[in-house]
Amino acid sequence: MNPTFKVENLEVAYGETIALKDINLELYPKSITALIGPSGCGKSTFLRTLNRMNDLIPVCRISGRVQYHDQDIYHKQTDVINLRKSVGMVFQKPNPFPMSIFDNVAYGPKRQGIKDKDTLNSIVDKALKQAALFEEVSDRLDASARSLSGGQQQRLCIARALAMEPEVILMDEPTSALDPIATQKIETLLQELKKDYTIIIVTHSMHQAARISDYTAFFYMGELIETSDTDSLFQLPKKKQTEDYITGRFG
Amino acid sequence: MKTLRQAFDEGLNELSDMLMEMVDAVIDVYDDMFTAIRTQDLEKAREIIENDTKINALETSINEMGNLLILKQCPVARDLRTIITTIKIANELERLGDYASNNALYILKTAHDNETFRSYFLSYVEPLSKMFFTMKEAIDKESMEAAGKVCDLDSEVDEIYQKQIMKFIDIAGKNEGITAVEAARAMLVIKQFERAGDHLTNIGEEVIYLAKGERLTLN
Repeated sequence: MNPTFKVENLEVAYGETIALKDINLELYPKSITALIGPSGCGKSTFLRTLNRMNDLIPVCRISGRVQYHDQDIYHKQTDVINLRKSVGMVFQKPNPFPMSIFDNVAYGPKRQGIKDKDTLNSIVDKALKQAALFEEVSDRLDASARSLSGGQQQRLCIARALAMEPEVILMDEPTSALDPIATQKIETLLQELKKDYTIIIVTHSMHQAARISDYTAFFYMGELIETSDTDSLFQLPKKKQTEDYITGRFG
Repeated sequence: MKTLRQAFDEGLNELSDMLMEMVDAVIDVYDDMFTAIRTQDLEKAREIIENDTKINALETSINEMGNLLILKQCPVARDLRTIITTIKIANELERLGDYASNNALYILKTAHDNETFRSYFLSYVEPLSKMFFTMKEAIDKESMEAAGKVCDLDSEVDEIYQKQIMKFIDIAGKNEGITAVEAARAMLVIKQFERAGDHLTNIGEEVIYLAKGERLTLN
């Protein structure tokens, strides 16, 4: 299986502070990879290197190689906008735009120059269906996105990402602000989406990682300590640090 | 203040103490059983049957405690293996207790009938005692070596059993003062010993799984 991402000797520093050291990792298509580790371990930083979100932080320095298929994404000729079209992102807090449900999902395609009403309608319908939100909102697409519940807002953000027809979806703790029922809906949705998309998710819930992911990578103090298929990592971790972390023996 | 992890460790220790208590109870019951066979002590045979409820109660407590720890702690990795193997070992011990109880019942039914089979039964004392002793060491020290030895020792028990079955068939066929029913009953007794060996082997396998995280079939 060819990896979607191949990361080699990646180092990330914020000013003098080194956030990631010598990371080597492959991420596989049509699967869910969970990134786990304590706060400050570098997992979110790692996630953001995959679509160059760290570019927005002035003091951030990056070395090493992040290869997306055949493309070195930190090469100076890389079109970052195109990269982010293929590698979408969903954040911890649902962050719908202050506009209607429809306009939230249509925003990206419109910015891409799609003006035809029918085309936009079908893109929005499709994305909302994929995000398992369509049935709940189909009768009020003109309503403000802010009128939705937290869980619905997060699925709207997923729909907004899907409308760009990405290949990869990066998720930074997408359920940590949601109640258990909304969390379960998103987790179920991710199981569906991984049939077509490559999903990389940062989570603080070890059991979420164990429940939904195919691969797990454990980060600690800027290093990638261990990565393997999720079942093995949670049953028989190879490194003592991993065992100590997942069993709650840290510190 | 006690951390949640410390409380979890205390729970695991408590579980382990209950398991060791059960191990000792089962070892005692086998000692009593062989003594009862040797001396035809009916009082002891009755005690064995009564004590089986204590062993069963211990298994129930281990199951409940194990379930509760899984529910509250959502254990992973070694913690999860510890709980699962403890529950499974307790189940094996419970069966071992049943076999001793079955044989105690035999003693009650056939006391003073004849002495023909007694020496055959007692030939299991040594290999089974060794297995019990080694099993306890395996659990106590999580020793893979001891666990492997338990499994090896089982072949001795199997060998004795195979020979004796043929012998008992022979005895039954000759019809010289021992009826076929009596011989068949005696076969049931040694079957319990043979099964006891298998359950002890299962315990050995569980200890290896706990230590290594891999399932081996040694039976």
